[in-house]
Amino acid sequence: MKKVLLLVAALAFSVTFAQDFVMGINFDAGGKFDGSFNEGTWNGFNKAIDELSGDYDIEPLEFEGQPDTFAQGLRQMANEGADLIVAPGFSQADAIHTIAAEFPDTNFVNLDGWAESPAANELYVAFAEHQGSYLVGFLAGTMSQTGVVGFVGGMDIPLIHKFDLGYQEGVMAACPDCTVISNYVGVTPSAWNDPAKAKELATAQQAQGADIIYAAAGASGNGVIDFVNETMCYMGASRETPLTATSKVLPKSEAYKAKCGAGSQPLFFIGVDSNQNPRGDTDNNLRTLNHGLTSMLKRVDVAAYNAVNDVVNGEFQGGYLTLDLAADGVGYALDDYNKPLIPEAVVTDLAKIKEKIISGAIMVTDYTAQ
Amino acid sequence: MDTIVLLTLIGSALRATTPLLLAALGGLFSERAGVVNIALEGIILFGGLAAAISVQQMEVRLLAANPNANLAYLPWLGLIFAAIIGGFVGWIHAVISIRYKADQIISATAINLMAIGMPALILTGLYQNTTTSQPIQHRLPLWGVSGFQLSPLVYFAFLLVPVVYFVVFKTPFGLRLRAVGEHPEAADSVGINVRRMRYYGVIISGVLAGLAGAFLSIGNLNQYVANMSGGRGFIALAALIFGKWHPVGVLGATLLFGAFQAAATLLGGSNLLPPTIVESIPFILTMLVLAGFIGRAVAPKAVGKPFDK
Repeated sequence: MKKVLLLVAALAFSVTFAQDFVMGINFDAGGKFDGSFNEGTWNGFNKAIDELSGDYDIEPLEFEGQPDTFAQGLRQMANEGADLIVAPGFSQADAIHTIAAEFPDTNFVNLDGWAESPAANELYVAFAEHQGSYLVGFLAGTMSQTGVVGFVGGMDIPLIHKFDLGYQEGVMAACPDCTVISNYVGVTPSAWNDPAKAKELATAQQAQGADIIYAAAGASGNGVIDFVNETMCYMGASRETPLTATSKVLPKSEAYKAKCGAGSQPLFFIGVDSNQNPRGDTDNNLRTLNHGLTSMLKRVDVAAYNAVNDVVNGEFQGGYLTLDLAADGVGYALDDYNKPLIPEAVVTDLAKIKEKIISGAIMVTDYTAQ
Repeated sequence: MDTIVLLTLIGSALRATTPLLLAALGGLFSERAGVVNIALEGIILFGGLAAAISVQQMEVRLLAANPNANLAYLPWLGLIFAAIIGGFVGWIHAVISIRYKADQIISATAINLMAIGMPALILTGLYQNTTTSQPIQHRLPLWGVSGFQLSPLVYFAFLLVPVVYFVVFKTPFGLRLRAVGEHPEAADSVGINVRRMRYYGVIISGVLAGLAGAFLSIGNLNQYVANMSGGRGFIALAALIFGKWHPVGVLGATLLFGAFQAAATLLGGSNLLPPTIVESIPFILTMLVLAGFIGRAVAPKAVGKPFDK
């Protein structure tokens, strides 16, 4: 009996005190493997722990919640002695602000959210989505062969207007005569999960002349991507742009050849958050024309990665943090899928624009700061 | 407005109407038989999931066996799966609310909640992803002339309206169905098997709602997306009330909802009217109808009441 007790005591001791750090992640609705926001956060979180695990003993905790159980997950992990809890999603901000006061020894990092007068153990990370959107907008304005481009937002909230406005400014900078058509899927959270409606919006935008459509709509964005991949082309280009030359020489998929006759031009989407370029590859052939023009990258993984490292190095600071272009918190995707579409000269232009935004020569309006 | 935009608008309205019409016609069978079916929302999700996953799973295996196989029949099999799963979930609702006489609202709510959690579990098991199924290559074809093509399910939904009218109002089956929804005791006294008729009604509603889900996942898209029904099951119920539990009325109501949604889509790009206002008009009309300001909507008398012999 004594032996057993001793063993139990030893085990309890080892469980409580063996690790150097306990790191938690409290997922937003949508879950760990949502293919974008949560998964990106988890990737950065996991990468940091993997890298540090040689030198430190880190116990990772995770909780997959819904809006009504966020607080429960946060409390549970804080009670288990978490040194850091990463919680993606603006809807977790309220819960974090309340619970951070109860657990002063636990550091909290929220992505996308905001709370008034944060304590030293809560950090709210924002992303300069307007800057990233400006870049992809500039690309869309440079490339559009109709002079009309589209924007499909998810839920009609200020955060998404931030994407919208940055994108519009970028388009206008490249092409003052261009038109941007903006639509929002809805005003309730179901707007993030309604690809059918998003697809109708994209269809209507194309009917009004849009040839490049930027989707910032969560899972609804699948509807925009599907519309572009399914429709593939349109008639009636009115401008000659760098895209006219590059898309002309690129070989087309079999489906494209069957569907699109002479004089038609390809349609493109612009992805969001993670790199969605590969989804424009309709025939699994890198050499044929890709329908993903680019993606606006939001580096949630960088935020999570930095948070873990900061806590381990004792450099964690509460408050607000904005990851902008300068910090590589946002950007645009350029990979093997879309490189053939975008000529070197345009890439150079985009690099110059990026420099100007960083230096402040170009001021992109932040809708949420208005 | 030029013709391309107008044609797009019409196509958009018809596509928006289709899932509502299918689900509402399903709801008509269920409610005419005396069982409230607010589980339509959940059944749409189950149907969409069944169609997307069955096609994807068969596709992968068949393409692995023969990369050049002609698999044009696959999405039609997916439709059958969606109908079967939809009917099965409807049957669950029927067993709970008819056989065990549980509260129909609670039973259906449980199904709706299940439709949020269970797909995530299944998707994680199959694709290590909680929100979307893997895209399929073989979706339902599009029928029509160049420039105006619609999914076969769109045609099916509209052709279903006269069929439902005929079945519900011109056949002995329809007469019995309506009888058990209006006055089950009287129906019972003349030898109609009330429970069986109600089972039929609820299962048919499940089959049709399942097809509505298949339209969303493999008809209009190439994958299942979590919660992709987006409230369409509930809108279908509103349309059922607005349409006064009559197939032609339901057709008119769902077309109205679809047309307003399409109009809102187009208006969203302009600054004429906030699209949300346009989209909410059909709901306001539904409330007016319910309150008795525009005509009167009289529900089947015994709807929602379990039958106790």
